[in-house]
Amino acid sequence: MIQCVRPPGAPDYCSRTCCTNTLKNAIRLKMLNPQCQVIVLYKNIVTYGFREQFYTEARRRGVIFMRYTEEQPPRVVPDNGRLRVHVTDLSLKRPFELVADRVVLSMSIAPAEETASLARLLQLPLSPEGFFMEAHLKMRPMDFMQEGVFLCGMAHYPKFIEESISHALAAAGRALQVLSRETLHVGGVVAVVDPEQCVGCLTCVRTCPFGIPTIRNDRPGVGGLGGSAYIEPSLCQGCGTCTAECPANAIQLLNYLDVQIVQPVQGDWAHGSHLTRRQWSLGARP
Amino acid sequence: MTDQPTLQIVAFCCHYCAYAAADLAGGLRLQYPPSVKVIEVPCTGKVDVLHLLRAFEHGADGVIAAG
Repeated sequence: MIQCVRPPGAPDYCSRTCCTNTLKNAIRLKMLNPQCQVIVLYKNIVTYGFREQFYTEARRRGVIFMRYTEEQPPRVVPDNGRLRVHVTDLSLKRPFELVADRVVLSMSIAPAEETASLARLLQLPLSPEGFFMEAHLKMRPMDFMQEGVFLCGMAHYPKFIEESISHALAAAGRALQVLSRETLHVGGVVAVVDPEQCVGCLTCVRTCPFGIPTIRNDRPGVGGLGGSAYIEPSLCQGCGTCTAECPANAIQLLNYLDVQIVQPVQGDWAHGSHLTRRQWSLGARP
Repeated sequence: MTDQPTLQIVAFCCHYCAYAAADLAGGLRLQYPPSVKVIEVPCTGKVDVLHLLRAFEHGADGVIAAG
């Protein structure tokens, strides 16, 4: 059994599940026929957690482990219907020739074929290995940075079934947070366009990092002419970049109105009656 | 305190980084001069030139946009 087999040019990463599966198969073979000789050629045995017991059990049953390195990978040569495996043993520093009835390869687990096109469609990030990439490795492993899209299981990276189930439960929980509500409350910090000041210059359309503003012809702009910008409140991320860029100052960010930012600045510096935005919003005045 | 005039600094701090850092500094009981006035903004992109100029207009000696 040869571990860590990957096609040339494929990215090098650990598929995590193959070592355990190999050991499970090796133990099963030894249980069915103790005379059967099983040799595992490996780079590094990854049987994490309690799976380490499989390794101990496999050794106890007489499975032979031989380590190889990236520089000296094993070579499989066909010979009259049988297979010869050439490998260099690292402890003896001698080449070995093993005659095998069966050679079992543990190939790396590749992402599903449609992963890349789906990621493009939904604008989701991929890891360097081509799997979907989560929002945060520890805190949000089932989330994407994009709202309302969740991931679980092998779309994320190779996993055992129990890991996939835990992951799926977490993703389902996140999805239920959205689905269980009659109405969704979006954050109050959203940009609002005053059509009476908007000339439809497209500055906000071009500067918005999320591509939310649009020019709508059904909303007359300044002087009742043309169209004006519209920012969908449920999509606005509330960064306020458009409010700063708008040449006509036609956009205000709710809870961060110009007056709320500027008033604290105008506080009485000398006497320290400077107000925070929140204090000002609650009615305090310098 | 000495008779030296205190420089009034207005700091526009991004909610996600600089403001959080100022918050953390507070949590760690670190001190900074009271003449630094922190104003939280959702993103430094929100800081308008007008905000910076208005701060100078009203006597600030320096303005920092941190984020």
